[in-house]
Amino acid sequence: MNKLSVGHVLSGVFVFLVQIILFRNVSLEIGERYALTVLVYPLVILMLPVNFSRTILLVSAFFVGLMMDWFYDSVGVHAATLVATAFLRSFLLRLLEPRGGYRIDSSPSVAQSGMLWTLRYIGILMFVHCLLFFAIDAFTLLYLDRILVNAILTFIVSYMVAMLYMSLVRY
Amino acid sequence: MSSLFSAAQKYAHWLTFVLLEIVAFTLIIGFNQSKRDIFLHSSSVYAGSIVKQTAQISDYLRLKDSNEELLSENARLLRELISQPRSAPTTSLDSTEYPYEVMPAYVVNNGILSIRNHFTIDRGRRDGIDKSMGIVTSDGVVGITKQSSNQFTLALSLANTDIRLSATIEGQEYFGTVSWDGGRYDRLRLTGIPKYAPISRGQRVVTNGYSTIFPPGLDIGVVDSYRIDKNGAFYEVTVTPSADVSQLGYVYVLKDNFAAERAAVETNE
Repeated sequence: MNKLSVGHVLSGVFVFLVQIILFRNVSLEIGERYALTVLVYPLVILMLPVNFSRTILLVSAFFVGLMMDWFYDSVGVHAATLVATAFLRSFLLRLLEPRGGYRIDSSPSVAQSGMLWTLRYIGILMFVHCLLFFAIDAFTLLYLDRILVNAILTFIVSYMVAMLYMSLVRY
Repeated sequence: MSSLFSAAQKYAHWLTFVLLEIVAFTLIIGFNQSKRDIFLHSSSVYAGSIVKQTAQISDYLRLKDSNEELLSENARLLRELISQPRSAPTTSLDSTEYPYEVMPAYVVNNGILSIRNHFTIDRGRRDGIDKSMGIVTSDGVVGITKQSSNQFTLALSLANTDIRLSATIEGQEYFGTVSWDGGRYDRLRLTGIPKYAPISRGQRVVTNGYSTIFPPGLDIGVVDSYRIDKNGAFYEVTVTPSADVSQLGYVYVLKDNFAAERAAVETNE
């Protein structure tokens, strides 16, 4: 496990605060049936260095998710989702591994890994996160249309915001 | 031994993953309902005050709408007051004479994403608010309080598949249950109205006062459409709610002054 830079910590805290203060108040009703929100907090976990300890990553994801649940009044839903997303991250990182392997201190960002790599990495994990979030929240497939539409709407907006941030960070 | 250690290290994150998911899902399912309710949600003091601070930003944007709403509500009350017969002598204005106490509150956190939506109001136990109290706006019923901290209260929104309201069609004896099916926000479902009840589109669906949560006659919505349900004995009525739960600002909490007395009588039976 390599050490976290100050940049990582500050960036994580920043994203966390933006989610709670700004995006928590954003939930748009689409038509009379669907709604979307912006979920950027998965970036707190997704931005961590490629070689970050997987176990500590999962524990961090659990606590970040639990903090989100605290603000969203959704007992355990964000925690369960973010832990699953963090777990899948290690598999995706292996899948997306460049031919020469990752640099020992590599972090996912546009500056370090390139635009195309980041688009795929964030895109896949963000989509999985949004889908899992609405599925776990409903806890039944009775509301499948609602789960899918809300997840896709939320994914589109969250993906754009997340990519904007990922192309701005420098460390 | 070293291979055992490396194997443990290799699978540590699998174990951690499974353990953390078990904890999270235990919380979600509500392994123990009362424990789940104790979980620190935004009606707890710290999250509550942060939530309240950030809600103030959007408050300014809604200020004009809120004022207009209050103005039209005042006008309506004034109209009712003027049209009242003058003869009725007011014996006393002591608050204990009124069956319901009405307390204004402000919605500081409101969710619409889930199928079990909640909202948080800025009043709590120190204001005398407890669980199972009705919440209304000038338009109609919007929710029921679920749990209070000292300063905040979490409430079930009408857009919550767990909510059940005892309701009746205005002017009729028959009563049924209003719930939300997790579909459109502007559709509620009223079940339990017998099929021989006279029903038509546009009739008002109101609370029936069979519980101490709401007094009788408060607007829930209007009949949009209806059909006989599968069993053939009852109507399944689609109701358009009077109040828009996705746009909540100022609300009123209804506290039944005689709730304890009534509960005592009903349980001593």
